Amino acid sequence: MNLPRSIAQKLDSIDTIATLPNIATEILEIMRKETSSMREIARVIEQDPSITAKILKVANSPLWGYSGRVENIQRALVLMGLKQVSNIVIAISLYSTFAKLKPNPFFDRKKFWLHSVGTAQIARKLSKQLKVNFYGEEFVAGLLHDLGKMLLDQFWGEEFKKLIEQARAESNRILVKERQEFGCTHAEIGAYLLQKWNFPKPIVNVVHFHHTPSRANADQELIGLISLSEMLCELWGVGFDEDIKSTSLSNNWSWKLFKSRFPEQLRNFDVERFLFEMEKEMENAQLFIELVKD
Amino acid sequence: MDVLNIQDEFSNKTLKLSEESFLELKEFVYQQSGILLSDRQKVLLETRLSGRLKTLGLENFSDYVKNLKSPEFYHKEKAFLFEAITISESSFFRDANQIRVLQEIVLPELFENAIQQQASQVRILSAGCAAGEEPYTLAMVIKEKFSSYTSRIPVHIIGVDINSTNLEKARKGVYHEYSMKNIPQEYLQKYWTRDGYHRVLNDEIREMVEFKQLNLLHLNKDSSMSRFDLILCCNVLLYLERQAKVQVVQNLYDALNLPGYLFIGQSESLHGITQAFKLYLFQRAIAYKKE
Repeated sequence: MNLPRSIAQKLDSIDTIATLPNIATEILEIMRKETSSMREIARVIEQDPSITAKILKVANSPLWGYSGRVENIQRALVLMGLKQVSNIVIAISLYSTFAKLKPNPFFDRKKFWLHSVGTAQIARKLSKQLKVNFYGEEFVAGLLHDLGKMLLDQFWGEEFKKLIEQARAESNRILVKERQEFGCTHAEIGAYLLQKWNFPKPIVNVVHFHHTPSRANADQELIGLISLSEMLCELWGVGFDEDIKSTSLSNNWSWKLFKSRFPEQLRNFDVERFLFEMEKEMENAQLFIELVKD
Repeated sequence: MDVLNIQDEFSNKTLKLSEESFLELKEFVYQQSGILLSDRQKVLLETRLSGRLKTLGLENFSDYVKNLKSPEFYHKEKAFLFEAITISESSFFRDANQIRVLQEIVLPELFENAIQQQASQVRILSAGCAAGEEPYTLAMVIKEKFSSYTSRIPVHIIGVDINSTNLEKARKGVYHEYSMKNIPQEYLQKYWTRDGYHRVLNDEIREMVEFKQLNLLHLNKDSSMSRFDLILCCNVLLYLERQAKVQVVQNLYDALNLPGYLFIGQSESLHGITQAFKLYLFQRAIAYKKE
């Protein structure tokens, strides 16, 4: 990742974000191993009662829709999958770190969460429709795709605010303004930090390329999934200054990729129905936020 | 037991729609009409259909859904069912998202396009226009927001409906206040006059719309019904059987210019009916484009 030196230096030097929460570091480490055991993951999660409680709340919610109560982390790991749970733990721990930071008044954090979780929910639904298992990476990638915006707000608040106002006034895309002002975009800034934290490469790639999916050399399906999900979220009315007003699916890069890779699944895909049902996904996103907040 | 039954009969309690029956009804309605019920509509349907079930002598929704699957019953029941589902009494400015998208994106694009192509006019069709609420809404929006275009190129708005009583009412332009609740204040003041409980539409808007009695199945047989830049066909297709739906959608496609837009009702779908259009997604609205 080539960030302008001054930007990288600032990101490297800030204490609050220089270190990832312990639980996330440990889980990432276990996940990097060839074989990660359920007992190991469970032990790490259970050391943190607050995260444990949140995971159980999520597992027992209509979001995952299991019959019967999920009483403990082991059960959640069995039902939801090792990777899925691990990914959610990482996302929750990261966001509670950021929730402690003070946002600028102009940065609507509620809307930011809803946009992030909404994108994650839509990505989950879309991956089910495509019948591709991304093992929960789609969820965490959806949650984190705009991490860079939060960083810009936190550490370049004044400049970022001015930039957004200008973008709005000029009906210019925020990406263009970011590149002019900072020499890089929120996508690159978010990816830089995640890479530094040793996040799995696919997640780093999604964050890096979610606005420019055609430039990615790897993980194209996951990147396409998040890129498309974000756009749908935006068109649903929960956008975050991306200024997407309309799109034709058949001209969309991600859609074309899916059509060529998953022709069978997309042949009878009822797009309209998927769009109507997004209402439910956005309600689910709201529910997820309620479940995991402190 | 008897006493309880009698009490039931006279109480106005709404019947409960079980989760299971609701899902079954949702699938059925979607397959038949292309309308997708949202979970939020469950309570609404309980309120709206309970009386109907009682009239039919049915004790629960499960029997109602079962009956719907018989073609004869469905044929007779359709009108009641869809009235409950679509909130379909036509009203002005019915779908705010659709109007916003038309105003902000689609109409400017169509005007620019027509001027660039040196077309003689911009043509708009309201297919299944009921008593004129939809075409008059468009006429008001165009009058109010697009005068800089209409001074350069004329607009021709046509409303067609199969029902002559509807059209008579449309031509008069007199409406009861209940269909007008969504009209923005500035429009009410500018284009309407009050007459007791009714409001009368000004001539300048009335004259912008031409009405015609026509069956959409025969749209292709009327040569004047062609070269439209924009067609709105809201809450019409859901009443048609599949074959008729395919035919009408084909007719609408043929009646459009290239490029041209078709908008259908909120939560209506053309999935499996046509592949001729390109699907365009806007903020909270979708459109089918011929391009």
